[in-house]
Amino acid sequence: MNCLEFRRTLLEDPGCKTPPFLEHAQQCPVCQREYDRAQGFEASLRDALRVEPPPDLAQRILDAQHARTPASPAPRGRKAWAVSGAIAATLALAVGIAMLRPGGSEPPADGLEANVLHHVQDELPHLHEVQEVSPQQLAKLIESLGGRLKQPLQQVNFAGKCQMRRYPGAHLVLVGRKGPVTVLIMPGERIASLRHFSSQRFEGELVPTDYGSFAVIGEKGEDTASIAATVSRDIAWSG
Amino acid sequence: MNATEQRFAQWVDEFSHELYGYALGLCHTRHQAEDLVQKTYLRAWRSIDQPHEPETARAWLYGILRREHARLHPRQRPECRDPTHPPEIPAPGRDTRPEAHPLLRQALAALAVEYREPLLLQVIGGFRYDEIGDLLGVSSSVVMTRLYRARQRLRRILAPEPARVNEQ
Repeated sequence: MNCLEFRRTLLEDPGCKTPPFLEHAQQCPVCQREYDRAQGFEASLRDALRVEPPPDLAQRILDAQHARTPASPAPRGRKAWAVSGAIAATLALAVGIAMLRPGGSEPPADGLEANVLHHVQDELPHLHEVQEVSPQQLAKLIESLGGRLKQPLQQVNFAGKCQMRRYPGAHLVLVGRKGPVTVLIMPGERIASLRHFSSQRFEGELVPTDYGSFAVIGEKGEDTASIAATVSRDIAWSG
Repeated sequence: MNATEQRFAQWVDEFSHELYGYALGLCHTRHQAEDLVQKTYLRAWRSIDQPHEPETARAWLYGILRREHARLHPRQRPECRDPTHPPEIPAPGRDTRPEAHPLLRQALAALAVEYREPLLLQVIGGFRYDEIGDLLGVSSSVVMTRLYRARQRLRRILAPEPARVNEQ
């Protein structure tokens, strides 16, 4: 191995352990220095890329797995898939009906409640974010959807655009009495009347507005009605 | 907890750390990285009945994460990000001081993804050329070239003086 080959290998794989590579490093003082320098650089690179995930990430993954999946993974094979598909469809229907209990009546046909709950479940990490969104940022977000923030909402920990079914909307996370509360602003998602819904973990309100609707979703026992009243009061719509 | 759930929990315990590092290297912000890792594991769980040897499960998870990132990337909207927060790549590491490796972190963030990705897979994942090639869908020689250029560019940013080569 000559110096050029050595240098090329050093950039491709500084951890190379092949005999020709290591022998060249021992025999050539210039390349030996370059090798030492490269090892130092790799150590810095590894250090810079070594990141600590949030301490609860693993638990959140396991919680999501327990919450989202049936007791056992689906069996394999076409016939098995067909059987499991039928079972899954039945289960989904049963779970859907069990999840949505708007005042004891049947769930509405448009399934917006289920979409809202799935959206919150899909975006669980947002519940734990603390971005300290400024009133200006929030106002800009609401304006981008055709609305106007009449007065700042208190303690907004996350705000971003999102897609709710067919229409773009906004995803906010506020601080409630029992923990984070999600507010989904949903222009275009029109409903006829106020609806209350709940799942095993969450409960919330779907509120009709001039532009569509918004949803307020909090942990069981959260005062979502009060937050819904605040959102109704503080956000106006022109479109 | 049945055997499948135990296996899944073991994968979470063993690999979620490094997958988070890889995700952060790809998508720059902590909440996106967390989201990506969670989605990766949920997809993995849905397919956990497929046979996976312990040594291939890790590469499989990296592949899922990479596909999830590619799937989510077009949906990322700049306005969703807080403009007051610059990219966090690669956010707090073992040394969480802001001054730790600032130039290296900036240089990494500035690398084109085609160079950054094989580097992340080699440094974080410890994958060989052929394994990286399988994950990226390119040949080993392409991987070697990209790794070469990635380090060359990083070193050029960090140490502009090129080392002289005395060929023997």
